[in-house]
Amino acid sequence: MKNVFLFLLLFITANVEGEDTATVNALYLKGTKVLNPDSAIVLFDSMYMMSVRTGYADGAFMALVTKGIKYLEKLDYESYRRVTYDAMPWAEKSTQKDAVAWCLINIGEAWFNEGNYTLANEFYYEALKDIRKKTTEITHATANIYNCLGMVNTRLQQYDKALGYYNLAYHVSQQANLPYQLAIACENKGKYFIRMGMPDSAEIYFRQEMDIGKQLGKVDLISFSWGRLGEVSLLRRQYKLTVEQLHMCIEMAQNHFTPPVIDAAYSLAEAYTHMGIFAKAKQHLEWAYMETKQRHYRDHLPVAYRQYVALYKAMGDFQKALLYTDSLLRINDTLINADKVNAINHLEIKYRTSEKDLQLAESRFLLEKQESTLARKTLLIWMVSGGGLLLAGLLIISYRNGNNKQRLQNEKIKSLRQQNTIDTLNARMDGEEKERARIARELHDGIGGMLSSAIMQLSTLPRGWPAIKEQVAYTESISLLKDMGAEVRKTSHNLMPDALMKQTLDASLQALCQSVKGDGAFIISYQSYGDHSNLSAEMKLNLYRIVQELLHNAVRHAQADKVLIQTTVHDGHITLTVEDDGSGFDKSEKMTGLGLSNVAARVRGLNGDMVLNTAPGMGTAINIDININIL
Amino acid sequence: MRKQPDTGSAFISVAIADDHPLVINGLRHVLSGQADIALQTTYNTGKALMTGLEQDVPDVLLLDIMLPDITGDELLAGIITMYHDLKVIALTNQSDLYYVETMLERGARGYLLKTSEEAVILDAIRIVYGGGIYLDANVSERLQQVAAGNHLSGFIPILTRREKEVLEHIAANHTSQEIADIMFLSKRTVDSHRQSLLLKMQVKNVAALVKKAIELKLL
Repeated sequence: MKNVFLFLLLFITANVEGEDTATVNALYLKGTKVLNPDSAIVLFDSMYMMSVRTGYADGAFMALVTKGIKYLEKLDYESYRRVTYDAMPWAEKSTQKDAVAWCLINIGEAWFNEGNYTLANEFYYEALKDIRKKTTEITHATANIYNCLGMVNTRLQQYDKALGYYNLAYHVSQQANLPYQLAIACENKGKYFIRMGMPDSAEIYFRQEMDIGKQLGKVDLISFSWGRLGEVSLLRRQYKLTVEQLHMCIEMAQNHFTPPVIDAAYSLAEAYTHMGIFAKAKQHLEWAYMETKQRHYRDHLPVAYRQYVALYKAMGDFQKALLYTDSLLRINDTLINADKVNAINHLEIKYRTSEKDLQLAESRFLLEKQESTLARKTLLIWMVSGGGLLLAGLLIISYRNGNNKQRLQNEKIKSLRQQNTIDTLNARMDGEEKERARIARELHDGIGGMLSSAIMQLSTLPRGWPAIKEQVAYTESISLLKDMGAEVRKTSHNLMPDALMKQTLDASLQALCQSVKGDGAFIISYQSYGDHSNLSAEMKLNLYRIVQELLHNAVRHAQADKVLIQTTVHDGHITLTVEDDGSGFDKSEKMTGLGLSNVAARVRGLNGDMVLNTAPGMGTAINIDININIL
Repeated sequence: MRKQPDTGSAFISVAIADDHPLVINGLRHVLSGQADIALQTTYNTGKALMTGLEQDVPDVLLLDIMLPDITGDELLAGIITMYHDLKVIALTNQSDLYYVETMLERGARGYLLKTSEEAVILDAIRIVYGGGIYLDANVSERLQQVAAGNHLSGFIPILTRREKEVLEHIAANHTSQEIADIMFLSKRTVDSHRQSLLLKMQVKNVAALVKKAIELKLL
């Protein structure tokens, strides 16, 4: 929600020149003051039209972005995203170097609000990348991205990582003299210390936030900081003071900003519960709970339930307390999901290491952008066609339609191309498999066939020339050819195990372990639990390849004596464990050389999780977890 | 149409189903000049084989697995039901034990690798024709290894590191959610480990699991 206010600041720095631009700017100021979002949207629309007519890119960009924010206020995240996408081409032309970054941040925020932290994170990173490409300066956007990344990590309960980002935001804001961002970093840091039960540190930051708010005359900052100071007092069990501070918060916010008021209401409920004033506690709690539900603030729900539990316990109504305890447990289970944390960690690794994935993200992003333009154009065509029918008759429509259809067609082709890029990237693995199958087949049929024919024919020679049997060259040639045959069989089998698709994964893995075991003096234990019969062909092949690769690592590179392989199918997931007692390695160094990146890519392609535990001399343990119902 | 075992005849009639001309050539070479063996027909596809068998059933069929249309393992069950006196030898480049087991299960009397020498091929044909079973030395060795391996994979279950950790937490009376929080895993993953522990130790509940783990000195 915080970004909303930032654009007011942004505007001050925008270029202002000429009469038309002055009108546009006037419209903008008017629009920001209108409280009803729908009327504001109408105003921003005319601002947009005027900007487009006069070629005022900054104006068009501002109009669309602020229009989008109005949709955000209406909690219509989809329209918010769409309008922000529309703003992108104008952002590219804008004099603001961070205009594109702002669009990306806002799209990320829409995902954040919808609880899709992975995508939010992805867009924040994109924004950071874009801004770094365009300027070395620290802008509002840079500081804002750090704050946003911190918030994502807070939601994922990665508090220390979050603090790292908040510190970054704090320092860059200080350095570049960005008081508003500094205030937000203060609030975030303060909230961290509240969570850690350190009221004194928290208070310092909230006081700083308030000072900045007063200097800038920003009511929202002042309101927020009163609310947070109330939380500090709550932590110190100074309930009377809490109530006073929270009332200041609510008063300052008035009807302008609801989020701080909701937080305040929850804290008030807690304070009143402690003070034994149950009626008031209940009144505030019920209001806050209702607002929370209406706004779909899922993350506030645990707070609500916790308060209900505390209140009913204090009132002695244990049955109701129990009821809310249940709700609390349930909601925590859905929200606190280690999978999400893993997903985001992977994403970060992905961002830093893999060019390909970056390409993929960019293509997806472009595709989304194009689809949104396409949707808009389609709508436009419908409107134009309708109007044409009324005004100018069939001739004009068919002309126009044809013309637009052509353009639409081009857009469609473009969009298809994007889809193609994604498919190409995703199909890389698939292509590799097909190529392997082809080579395997050629080895098997071509060379294999020739070898067998050669052996058969050679072995008939003694019929006419019995003495040849005594020739060492003869017997050795045959035995050499047979060895070649065995080698071809083995290689082609490694390339593509023909029987894999005909039997269960379980049986294939067992056979794989058996054949590797035949090669050397080590022990491979294979264990499987659960029903493996429902795995798709693609899943089977991928899992087989993963085990093949890991097993190869264990016996070849790690020189392990014992390898343990285990697959468990349970609750729609398959867990694969490969452990060895080999040399292990330094995780930070050797990741690429061992084909582990291949395994990681496969796991990522299956949307799974992989955890690697190893250190020099400590052996290696890899745990992979994949949802088997996605393919 | 069905040919009865022709024990009185002077030679063993053989047919080959293989799509590889070189291999057929090699076999032709091997079978030629044997007084007691006559190569009757060769087929390139599964379909051609099935039509051909309707006309004429040989004593021994050398059947490749990787035929271009229908694979040998799929053909075999039908062939054996329709011509139960026909002796089939799988002649293939597949050493995958899956195929060995499947072919034998479905009624093949022999399993030969295509890298076999003349003597082996001739031996196999004669032995199978006489009612015996012939396995390639390579293949039978591997079958024995597996049998031995299966026998050895004993009873003391091996726990993964994670399972050991989960087991310790279970013994310390932690709930799945608590274990998940401590180990930074999802609750579902912990439940999955819990399940594999129960299955491995062949017990039905946590109490029995802990008891057995103590007995086995895993705790």
